Amino acid sequence: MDNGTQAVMTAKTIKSDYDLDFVTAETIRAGLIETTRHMRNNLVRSAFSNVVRDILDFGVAVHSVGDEGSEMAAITEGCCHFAFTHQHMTNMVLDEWGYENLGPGDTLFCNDPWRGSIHFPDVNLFRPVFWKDELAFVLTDATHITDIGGPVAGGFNARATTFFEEGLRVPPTLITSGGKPVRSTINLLLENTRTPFENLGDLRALFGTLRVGESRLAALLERYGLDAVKAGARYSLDLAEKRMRRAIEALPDGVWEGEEFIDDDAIGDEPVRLHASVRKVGDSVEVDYSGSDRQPLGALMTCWEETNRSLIGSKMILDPRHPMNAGAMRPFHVLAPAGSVVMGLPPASQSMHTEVAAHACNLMLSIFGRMGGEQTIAVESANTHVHVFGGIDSRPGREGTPWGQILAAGASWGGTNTNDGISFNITAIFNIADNTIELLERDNPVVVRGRNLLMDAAAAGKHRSGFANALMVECLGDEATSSHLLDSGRFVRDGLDGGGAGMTAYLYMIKRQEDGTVRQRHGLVPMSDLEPLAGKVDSTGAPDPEFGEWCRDTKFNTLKLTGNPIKKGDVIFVICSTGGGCGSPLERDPEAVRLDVWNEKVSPDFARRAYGVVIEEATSTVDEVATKELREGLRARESAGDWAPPVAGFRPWPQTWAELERL
Amino acid sequence: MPKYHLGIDVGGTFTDAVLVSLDDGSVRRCKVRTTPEDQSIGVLNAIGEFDVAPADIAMFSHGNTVAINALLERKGPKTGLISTEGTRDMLDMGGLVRPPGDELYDATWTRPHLLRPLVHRRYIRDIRERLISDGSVHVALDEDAVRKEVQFLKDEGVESVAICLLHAYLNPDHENRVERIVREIMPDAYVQTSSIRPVIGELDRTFTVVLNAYTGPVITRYLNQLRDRLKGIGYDGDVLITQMNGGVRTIEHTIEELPGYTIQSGPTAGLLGAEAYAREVVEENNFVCVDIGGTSTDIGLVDDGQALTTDDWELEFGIRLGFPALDVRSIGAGGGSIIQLDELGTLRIGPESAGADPGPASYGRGGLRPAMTDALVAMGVVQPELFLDGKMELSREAAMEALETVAGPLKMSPLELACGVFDLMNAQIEQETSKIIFERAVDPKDFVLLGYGGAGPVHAASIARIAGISRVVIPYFPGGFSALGMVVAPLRAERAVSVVGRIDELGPERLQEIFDDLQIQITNDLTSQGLRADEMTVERSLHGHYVGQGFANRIAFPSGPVTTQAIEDWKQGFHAFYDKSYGYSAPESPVEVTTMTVSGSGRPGRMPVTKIPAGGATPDAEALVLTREVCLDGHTWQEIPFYHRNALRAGNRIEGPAVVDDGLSTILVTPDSTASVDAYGNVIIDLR
Repeated sequence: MDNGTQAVMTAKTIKSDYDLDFVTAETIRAGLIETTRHMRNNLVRSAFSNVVRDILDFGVAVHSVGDEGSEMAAITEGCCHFAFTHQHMTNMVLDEWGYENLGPGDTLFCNDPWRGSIHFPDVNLFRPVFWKDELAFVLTDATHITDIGGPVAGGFNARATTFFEEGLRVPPTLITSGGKPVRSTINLLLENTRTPFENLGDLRALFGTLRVGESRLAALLERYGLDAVKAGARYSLDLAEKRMRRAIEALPDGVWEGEEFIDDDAIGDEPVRLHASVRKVGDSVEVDYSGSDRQPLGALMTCWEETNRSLIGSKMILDPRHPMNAGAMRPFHVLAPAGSVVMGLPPASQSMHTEVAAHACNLMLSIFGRMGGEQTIAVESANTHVHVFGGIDSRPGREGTPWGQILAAGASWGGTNTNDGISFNITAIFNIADNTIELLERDNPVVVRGRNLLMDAAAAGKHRSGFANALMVECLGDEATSSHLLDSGRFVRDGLDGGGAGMTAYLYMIKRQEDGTVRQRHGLVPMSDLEPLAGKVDSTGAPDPEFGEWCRDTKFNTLKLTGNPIKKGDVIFVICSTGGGCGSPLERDPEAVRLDVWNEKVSPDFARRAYGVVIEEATSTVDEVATKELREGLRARESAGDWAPPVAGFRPWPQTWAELERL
Repeated sequence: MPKYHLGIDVGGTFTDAVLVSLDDGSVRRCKVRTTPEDQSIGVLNAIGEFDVAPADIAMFSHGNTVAINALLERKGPKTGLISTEGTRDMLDMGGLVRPPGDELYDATWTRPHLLRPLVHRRYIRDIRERLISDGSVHVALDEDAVRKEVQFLKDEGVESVAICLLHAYLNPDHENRVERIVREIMPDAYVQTSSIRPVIGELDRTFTVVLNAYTGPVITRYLNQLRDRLKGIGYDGDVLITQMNGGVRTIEHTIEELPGYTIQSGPTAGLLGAEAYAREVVEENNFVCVDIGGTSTDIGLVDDGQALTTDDWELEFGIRLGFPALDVRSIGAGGGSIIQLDELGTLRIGPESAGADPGPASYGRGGLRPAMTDALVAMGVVQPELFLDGKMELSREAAMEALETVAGPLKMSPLELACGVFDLMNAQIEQETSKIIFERAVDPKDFVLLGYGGAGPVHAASIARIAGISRVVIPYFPGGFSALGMVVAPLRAERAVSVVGRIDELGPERLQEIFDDLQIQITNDLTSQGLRADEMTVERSLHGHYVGQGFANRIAFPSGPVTTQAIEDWKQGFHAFYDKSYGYSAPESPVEVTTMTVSGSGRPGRMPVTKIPAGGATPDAEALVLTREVCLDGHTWQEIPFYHRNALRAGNRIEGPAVVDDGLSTILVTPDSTASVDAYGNVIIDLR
């Protein structure tokens, strides 16, 4: 109960509007959230695939059923986007199926993006909760299962041009009926997928999670009665709505526009544009995606998702610190033109939906950030930075066992008007965990050789961006493939209010030394040990986000590789883009710059070039006189339009190990 | 003949002590100033207050705040970490995740370790070496590089070194070699390795090692000093140190094995006292425990007589200790907290504390900034002549002067400020209690608020009012309640070993062998600490899941010989556990064991409470010591009665507003409530 809660409603209005005293209203709100927290813990602990238990790619929710459909009254995120999509998906699925056709013990299954799912590998379960013969609530959960069939293991087929090449599409279908499993549905799912064992385990865990949620909810209903719990759900939804409307109302009325570019669709060479205009009147907002590109040939589009999940960006600006529920989306109306990149039509594939999502969320972040509120945030990496490895194990005792694994690493958030951006942080549409290296390597023939920050890769600013992880993964199996959900290699992520731009993304292959070592320092690897796969490089193939040329003489012309063959001893090196800086770096506290140099995150050279701060290396102190002089000169050039902060990135990139070792 | 059990709890401001007679269970108590520069001085002072021969003390239980202070204030030793090449940023990555809850969508949130490191990145040195998941060497350890990095740490003045390398839980060779080099180059450094808890999972294990490296030198220095001082006064009995799992360990075992497990020893003990209260003293068994000391407030829940525990005790989000612990939350506001304006001009309480020296302005020892205590003095709730039984003089004038320094800029009267901060402090504590109530999804109406710690009794009823709790219990020794909790805490020990395999393949003989081995370790551990084998309760468990899963469930394994039938029965129980907990079971799937544990504990002691004489509804005349004007709303003064707790009788009832003074703390019976005294002298406040 923070101050915001008390400001939008009082104990008196709560009593008159919901017939609940304040403490009971809050207790029921807590009880609904706790039901989903309990479901979350249940799913994490009982799932079989590491996508759920380690990476936390799931969502669990309680929906209150009313005259006009269902409203998502409580949600616990694994991954943030489910907290936005499940409101709509639940209504699409249940409107089509018909509430009147559901009975106690029924559970529906669906994974179809044209019915609100995020993509085929995300399986969604819907279970009605009856209380004294009345369908009162719907519980839902969703998670990304390891495999959903189709030509590519894991379902991320960047080269698919139709959804038939992506995986199995399942419209709303009963998976339990009257409390009994529907064998035909389960068989369909197990016999058309590569990992039936994990899938069965995850389906059981999802189903068990709904049962656990049901018993928590029943306890709440038993204690307070149906009317009170329903009123508590309404209170919870209205509270989120009122807080959001209050934040919107504080902004001036008007229309704002913005755009974002995605590198390519993995098939063509052209960048893909997202465009939106936001019209704000009073306490309501209309978002219109008109002007976005047509859906490309490649698998780069989304269906319904961006009508809701891109609102993560606006929530971050407007009311970040309140539990999400559907009430927070009531003030928004979103238009997504059919056939565009944000509302693709069948039979297109949306294998690479995550890049569209990350950019759409950033688009909202930057547009809402310009509307004159208190909070401004520079754009983030706009990068999934998730990598799929798989193959046949050849380690002793596991020969011939198929394996597949999703590896997540941290991207970077942009600086804000009050803080540095968060380092090692996945894009805002998710909130997923990285892999525990020791478990990952136990279960899969890979060795994580590096997961460090890259020196100088954070965008300069009064508040700089966060650092992202540079990832080095060695293959231990005889043969395997790698696929990469990676973007923002072609265009830098811009700074805000005079802040510098971030680093761009890259893919390299590292040549190991004969004794097995991977020569690295500060996240850097000498160019002599690197083979460029894709990115914005200089004439030597080294990263140069500012002046380099996109995929100049690189092995591939896209970062969006699918099924890239690798073999034993190969080391893939991924450099993730970073977000933008906020405010001029010449205004950054020299002590903060010194601390970054002292901690070996920023080189003395970048401190000088980007921040105008001169560090005495021997004593690790700021040379105040030299800094003052340098900053004055740079400020004069900055106001004359003759200087802007350099794009983040270590320069010049070391060519040899001897050069790197000296750092 | 030795005849006392001594319990001493060191808080931020005061050191509370209880002396329990082993003959008749009677309790004496005292409160002295904490001596922050060396807490053992205060401990000795407290012992001195009792005026008993140290040789008459049979046992001494002790909790302190040495480690938690060092952690919260980041005032531990300069700590370094040696890690595997490529993993230097692991602690700052914190597993990538943002906390579910208020911070999830907040771009201004920062991961705690990045914001306030325990180990600065400069002191994290990643070295070339690599083991892989079968324990074999993938890249050889580069000893020259290790020497270079260790020399660097030495040159930088690092005092404590954590060593945690990937897959070291399988093969300690590289860590051992690094440790030898560290001990050679930095012979005075404190060193910790993965051997402290050799389990899979590099992030949590590294934090376990780092937390112990960070607190180890501080704790061991303190405990060694304490032991020397106790020897100096002729005490050579056992010293039992409260651990975070709610048990105690001897001082020697604490120093040698797991100093970091004492991080929160005082607050933990309060919950043990609450458990004992539920078990033996009062009919209620659901408590919201609010322990308000001089510097901080600690909050916990006792649900159905059991203190709630957490598997992943976190110092801050993502900084996990790696051992199970009682769930205690702390906020930096207590009776001695400084009242001040922050840079935005808003009123703030704490986190700085006036401490015991100079203490609040009203102590008249040179403190010029107002503290919470000064506000209570200004309001008249704390009367100078009653404070600490009149042993310490309080100056109301000094309190008013200090309050004026903050009230002036706010254009308030000192009195308005005093009442305002009293409300603010109650609201802040209530926010934290409602957070834990919210997270555990319990209904506050089912709970009573147990208010203890020196400042707990004065705030308890007001907090309960806003939290929607209708009953407050103030135990007989509020200040010494945690110290009493220590006295009832049992010796406790646990051993775990990673054993990964399908249960059917491990088979009864191997399981028996491992259990026996662990049990011998536990028995030796506890008997070496003075527990007799017949006093010991031993429990053994298998942690497991279905093959392919990740989370290991701890499920008890019955005592007796491990037979095929016993395993079969355990498996049935395992499937039933899944069905009950997770809503499904998969009986056709093989069960994998990941960890085996054996834990042992002694019996908890009895709560030393004694019945007080019974009386009528109206307190005896001599119980009423004063009537004084008190202001609770910033404007109006009303005359209210002050009672002396020692003169109250069981069955007495007091209508609020009133104050009950017990010499060491002040119970405020708020308006619209009634206090009653139970058979053991506890004050129960019922709110209308």
